[in-house]
Amino acid sequence: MNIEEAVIRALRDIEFLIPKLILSIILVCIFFVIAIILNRVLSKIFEIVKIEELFKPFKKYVGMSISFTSLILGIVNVAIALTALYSISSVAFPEWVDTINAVLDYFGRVVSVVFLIAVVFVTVSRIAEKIAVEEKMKSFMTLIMLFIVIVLLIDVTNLSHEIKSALAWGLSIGVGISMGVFSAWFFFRDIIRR
Amino acid sequence: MKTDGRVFVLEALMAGFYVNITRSIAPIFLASVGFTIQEIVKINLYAYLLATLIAYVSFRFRHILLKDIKKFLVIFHSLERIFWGLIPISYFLNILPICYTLAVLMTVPTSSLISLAIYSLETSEIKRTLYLRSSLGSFSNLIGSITSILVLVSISGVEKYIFLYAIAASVGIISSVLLTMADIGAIRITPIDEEIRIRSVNVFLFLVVLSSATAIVGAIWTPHLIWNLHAKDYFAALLSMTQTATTIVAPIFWAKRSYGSYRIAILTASITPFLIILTKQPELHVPIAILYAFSTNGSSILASFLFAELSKARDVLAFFLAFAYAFSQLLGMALALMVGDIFKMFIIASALFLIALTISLLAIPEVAVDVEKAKVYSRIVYNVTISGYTFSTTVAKETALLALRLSVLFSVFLLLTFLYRVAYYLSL
Repeated sequence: MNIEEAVIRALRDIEFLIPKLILSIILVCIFFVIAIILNRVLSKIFEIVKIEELFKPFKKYVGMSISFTSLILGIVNVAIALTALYSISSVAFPEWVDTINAVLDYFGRVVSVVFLIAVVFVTVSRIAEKIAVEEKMKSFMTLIMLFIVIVLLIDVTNLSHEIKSALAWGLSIGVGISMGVFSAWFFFRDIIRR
Repeated sequence: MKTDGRVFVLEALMAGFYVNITRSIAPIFLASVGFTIQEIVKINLYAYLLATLIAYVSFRFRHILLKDIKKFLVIFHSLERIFWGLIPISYFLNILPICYTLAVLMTVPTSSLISLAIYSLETSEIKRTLYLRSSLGSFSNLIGSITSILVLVSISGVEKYIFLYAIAASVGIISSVLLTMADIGAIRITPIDEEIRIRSVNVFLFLVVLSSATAIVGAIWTPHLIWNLHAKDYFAALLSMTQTATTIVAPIFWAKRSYGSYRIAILTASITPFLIILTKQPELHVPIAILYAFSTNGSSILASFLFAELSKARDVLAFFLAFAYAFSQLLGMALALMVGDIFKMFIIASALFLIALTISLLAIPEVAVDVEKAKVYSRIVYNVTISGYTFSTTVAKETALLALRLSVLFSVFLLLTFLYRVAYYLSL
């Protein structure tokens, strides 16, 4: 194929794409306006009914300062973004729906892993603080946690199934043995010493 | 009287004839060439959307127009008449929506500039000129109505519309020529104090809601008569003439009334849309038209009195009125299109009249039952409107910026796609 023909064919592809992109811009703008209005209305309503008061005891219990208004608004915005994404794909790019589903599925897994890691770290550090464990014990817990996190991360990587399985098995056995040895020492150290 | 004032009075005498024919025949013409009620509303919606933008832009950049009012006035005045005159021909050229939109757009700067030109006269001269313009304008309006009926009855086919619009545009152009003889003085941009701002915003709201209601009734009544009640086009024109004649007589009744009696005018106007939709006999629409014109005339006299109190900032007022008119038409058409059904459109019109009445009762001290409370409410309405305005301008700016950024991003994406596609095709 000569350069002239290639340019013409590429231009035809572009010509096919332009209306779809314009439509996408319009849709993004519409959803953007909806998001701004919804955010404004919801935050005003939350402010009037003092929604943060409702979550005060929960905040005390968790011991973290989270703005629930921001959290709910964040969830609303994610919902609007998803609606916008699917609207654009169904109107302008219907052939991309499966790809978008796959990407979102993967993204969901990554998010769940990140969320799980955060929960594990927060919980362990809270327990360590509450029961005032000694430094060695803390290090051991961190090590176990890291192993668990690695297993979770392996789950979302793009490695082959065999490698993933081998790594997960290896780490799980390692974690299991470590915990077994640790438990034996922790509960039966007096007997072992004798 | 100075030469200037006379020119504007003569202009109104000529323009009344042109305005009556072009505006009142437009819905009849559109309905008779096959446009449905929804299509007519849609055309108006797009036209007034652009007109509102033009009104806003001309207000923001009014310093440019104020530099040479006469030059801009003559240009827009003539263009308005040309575009309105071309409407029937544009139908055969398949560009009717474009021509109609341009015609509507030209009315915005024209109406602002003509008001400004009149306000540039001496204060004593302004009132006299306005009064004479109104009287002679009404008279030529009536002549226009009679001409429309005679032409519609005597000529058949679409030619009658071409003929009518040609006569109207020719007379309209004479009024533009008359304006070249006017000696228009300079107008300076005046700062507005807060009290006037509060009053202007409330009067603006009142006027917008009231005009939206009349816009809906004005746009759908004639097509409803032609399409649903199978009335002849000249009958629709007769209805328009009845309204014109009523608006000539009605001010005699309303002018000396107290502000409170205008409440009855608005309330009566809110009942008429129901009467229109419930009356299946076209002939009975004539007394309804008289009642409607009589009550809306009372409402518009109230609006003009309220505006007269704000006349200190004349440069702002002229643009303000044009913006209020364009925006009210846009709001009316958008609401009508949203509800879709003709019965609901009339209900919306009625509801808008009632909202206008509520605004006047709550936020306009002259009409309110409790003046002290009205002053408090007017401040609240002002604050809500201003924050709404600020919010919507911020959203508009942000959205425009987002659209611009996305356009740039997509352009880069298109460029990359082009380059990689060329490379891909070359590799084949």
